[in-house]
Amino acid sequence: MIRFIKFGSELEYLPINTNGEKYYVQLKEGVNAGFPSPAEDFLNDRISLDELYLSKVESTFVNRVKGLSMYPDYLENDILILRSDYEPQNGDDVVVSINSSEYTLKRYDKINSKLVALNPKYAHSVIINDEDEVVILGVVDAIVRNIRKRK
Amino acid sequence: MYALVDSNNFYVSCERVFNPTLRHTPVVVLSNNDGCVISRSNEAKKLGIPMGAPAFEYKKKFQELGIQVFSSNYALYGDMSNRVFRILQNYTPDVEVYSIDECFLYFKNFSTKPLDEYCKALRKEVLQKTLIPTCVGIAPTKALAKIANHIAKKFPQLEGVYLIDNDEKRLKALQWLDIQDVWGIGRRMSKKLKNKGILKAIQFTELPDEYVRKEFSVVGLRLKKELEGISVLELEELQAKKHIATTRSFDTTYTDKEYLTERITTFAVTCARKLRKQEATCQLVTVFIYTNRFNDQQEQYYRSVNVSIPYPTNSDIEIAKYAKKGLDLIFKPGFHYKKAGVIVGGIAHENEKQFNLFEEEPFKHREIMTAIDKLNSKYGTQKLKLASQALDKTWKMRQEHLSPNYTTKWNDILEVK
Repeated sequence: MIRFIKFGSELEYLPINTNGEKYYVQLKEGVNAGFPSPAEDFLNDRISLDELYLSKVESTFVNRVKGLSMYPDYLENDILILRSDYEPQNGDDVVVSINSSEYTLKRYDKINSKLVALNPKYAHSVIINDEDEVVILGVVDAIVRNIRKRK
Repeated sequence: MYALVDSNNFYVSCERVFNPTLRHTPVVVLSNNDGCVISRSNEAKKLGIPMGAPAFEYKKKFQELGIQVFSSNYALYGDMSNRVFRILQNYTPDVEVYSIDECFLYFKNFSTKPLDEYCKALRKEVLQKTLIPTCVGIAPTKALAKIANHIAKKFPQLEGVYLIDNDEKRLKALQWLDIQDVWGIGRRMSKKLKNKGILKAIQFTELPDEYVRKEFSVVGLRLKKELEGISVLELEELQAKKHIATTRSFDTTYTDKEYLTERITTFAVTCARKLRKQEATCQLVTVFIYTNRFNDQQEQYYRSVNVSIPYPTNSDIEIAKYAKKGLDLIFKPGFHYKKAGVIVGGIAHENEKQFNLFEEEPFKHREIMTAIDKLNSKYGTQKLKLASQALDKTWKMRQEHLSPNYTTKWNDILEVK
């Protein structure tokens, strides 16, 4: 299915998975007097973010970024939507543990068998050897970032 | 052919998914109220920690041996279990959720030959998507599938999958298996058999039918048939004691959610009563709904879901409430439902009087529920909340080693650097 989202004067289409679980927020009509809203029949047509991000609930994990090791691509408190069913490709960002380390976020450099921290201040790039035990929780599929900070 | 898919050391495996530093350290998970050990990593088993070890008695030993201890986190385990089941449901329409970490699959009209390859793929997919290791046993009957699973678990070189598809393999397995490890043979039965010199499963199958029926009733005879390779137990028939199930096939099919809600509520209440009878509580409710798998004309739908309850309970009201929540999650309109059920898990002994609140007057439950509903609609949910808060105050569960709810609470999601 294809939905249209308006950007300025241009239209861009985004393919959207529709096989996800859907949870809708019900719209409460505040006014009883007058005519029924002509939109009432279309309540079910709300956009669901779950459709976009949680279409495969059995292989999706949600993490939060701490620290700046992947700056500037990732900021502190970014929400990561991870997919465990994706085979990591060159250039993918992965949440990974090497030899029972804690999970860290790294960019996968398949060509050099390296896991790279993007921030030059962090020298934490790791070369993967054959004998290493590498556990990947998931490949980063999307990030959710709050732009406007509220208290 | 039947396959039993069993998650290895499931609760420990769940903790390890989110905490990879535990991958090679000994880990145990404790029961409700931090009572005793209910799940052990292989490392903890090797250190000699027995199943059911009381936590207070072993506290020092845990520290000395560097064993990591966790309180049971049913919200997490339930969610991970759901993920595994969802994947399994893609492999065959006939799935029986046997417990939080075990699932029977039935392969109708599948040729035997590639079935072990098929299950290897299944196991690999579960591991990649959920990081939960599983073992699969495949055999012509459920009891033999259980044994095949046992073998798959015991011998790592089998890569987690074992198929019993001929008599040679079947007899070899039965010669190997100790009588007390046969599925469905309880402590009393195995003691009786051992007294007669029957130590291996194979010897049990060599007894005359009449003798088995006389000594161990029809249940024992059915087990014997199962071990002989004659399938007499269909999906959902034999139930272990670690969970209680109430399931029914309907006389006809229903599409109506209201009807199913009523059924599920009734099943939940029945489970709650069974729990109280055993003086037990549960902390997990599994709800499932099936269409008629024998009707090829209709579109098929089968779903099950685990819902965790934040505290151990055996109250009709609580269990019904969470069961309904489960139904809301899996119900899809437009299908003809033929079967539904409620299974409760995470069962522990009831040792707190507060949860017997309604036990004295079981016939007043409906009145109480209606009263709560009325209060609810009149004063809003706040009133109901007050009651549960009061309960929380009088009964506080010991959960000193609880891991975060990584998959079900925003505040608990994993943080990565």
